[in-house]
Amino acid sequence: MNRLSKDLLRGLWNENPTFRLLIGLCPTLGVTTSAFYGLGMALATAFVLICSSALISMLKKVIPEKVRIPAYIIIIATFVTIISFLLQAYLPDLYTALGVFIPLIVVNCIILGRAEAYASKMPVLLSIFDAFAMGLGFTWALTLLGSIRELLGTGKVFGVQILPDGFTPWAIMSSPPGAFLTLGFLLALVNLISDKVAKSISASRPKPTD
Amino acid sequence: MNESTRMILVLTLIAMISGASLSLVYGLTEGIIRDNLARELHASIFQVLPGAVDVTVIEASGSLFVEDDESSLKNIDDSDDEPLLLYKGLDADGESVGFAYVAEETGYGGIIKVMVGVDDETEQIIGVIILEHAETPGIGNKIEDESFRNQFIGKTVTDPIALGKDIQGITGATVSSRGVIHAVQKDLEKAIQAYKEAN
Repeated sequence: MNRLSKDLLRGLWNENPTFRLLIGLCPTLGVTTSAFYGLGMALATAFVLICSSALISMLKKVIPEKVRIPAYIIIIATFVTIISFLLQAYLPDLYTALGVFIPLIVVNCIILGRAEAYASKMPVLLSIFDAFAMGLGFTWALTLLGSIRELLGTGKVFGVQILPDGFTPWAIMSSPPGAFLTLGFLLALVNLISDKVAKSISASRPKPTD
Repeated sequence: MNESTRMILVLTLIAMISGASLSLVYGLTEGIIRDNLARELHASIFQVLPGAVDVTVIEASGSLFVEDDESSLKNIDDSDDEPLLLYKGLDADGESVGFAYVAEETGYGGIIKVMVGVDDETEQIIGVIILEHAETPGIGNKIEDESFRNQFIGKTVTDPIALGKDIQGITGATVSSRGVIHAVQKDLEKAIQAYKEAN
C-alpha cells in the first residue's frame, strides 16, 4: 500500500511529467487552448501510456535488448493509431481539434520514457499502476493549463461562461505565447510549493543524534 | 536460436500482430468514421443552401473544362486529377435550391477551406462557411463569424469582391480575410459553368 501511494504521488507531483520533469511539452503547449482539449489530449496519451506499458512489461523477457526501441515504437504506434481511429469514430470534434498532435503521441517522450525507465524492468501490474499515475499527473497538468488559458482567453471553462460579460478576453492566452506564459507561472508556483514542503519536512524531521 | 534470428523473429511477430490488430480496429470503425464525415459534409451543405433537405452529388470531371484556348488548358493542369464536386441541394419537393462546392486557398496560418452555396437561377452566392482553417485564434479565426461570411451573400461572378470596399475585412487579419475572398472567388465561375453543363 505504501508503495502504491508513493507511486501515485510520484506521478501526480514528485515526478510529474509536465511540472517536474518538463517532458512531453509539445502537446502541452500546443493543444491546451481549452480545458476540454487539454483533458482529451491527456486522456488519449494516458490510454496509450497504460496500454503500451502493460504490453511492454509483459513482453520484457521476449524482446531482445538490441531491438527493444523499434519494438516499443511499434507497440506505441499501434495503440496511437487505434486511439486515433476510435476518436475519429466516436469523438470526431475532439479528433479534428487535436489534429496532428494525435499521431505525435507516438514520439511523446513520457511514453517511451516510462517504457525504458519502468515497464521494461518491473512486473506488469506495477507497470500499469505507474503508467496510470503518470497519466493522471499529465491529465491534471494539461487540464489545469487548458482551464487557465480558456478562462483568460475566452472567459469560459469547459465551455461554461465563468467570467462576467464585461470581461475582455486576453487573445494572447489562446495563442501559443499564452501557453508559455501559463506554463511559466505554473512552474514557478509548483517549485514554490515543493520548496515549502521540502523545508517543512526537513524541519519536522528530528536531527540525527550522534 | 542465435541472437539475430531471435531479433528478426520477435520484431516480425510484433509487427504482424500490430498489423492484424490495426486492421481489426480499422474494420470496426471505418463505417462510423465514413458516416461521421458524410454527416458533417451534409450539415455544411444544408448551412450554405438554406431550405435544402437532401443532397445529390454531381462529379464535374476535368473534361468539362477542355477548351481550345491556352488559358483554359492551363486551368486543367492546375486542377490535375481533382474533379470538382458539386453538391446539389434539393428541398422537400425534390426541387433544386442551388448547389454548393468546396474551394481552398492559403490564408495566414495555413489552408482555408470554404464551402460556397450558389443559387442556380440567379447565380448569386447564398451562403459561405469556413470548413477548415488554421488562422490565429482570437484574430484570424473571426473569419468564422457570420458578420464576415454573410457579406458574400448576393454576390455574383461579375460583382467586384474587393477587400475593404465590397467586403469589410477583419481588423488585424488582412491576410486571413483575403484568403477567404480568394477561396470564394477562385472556382465560382468554373463551378457555375460545370453545373450548367451537368444539367
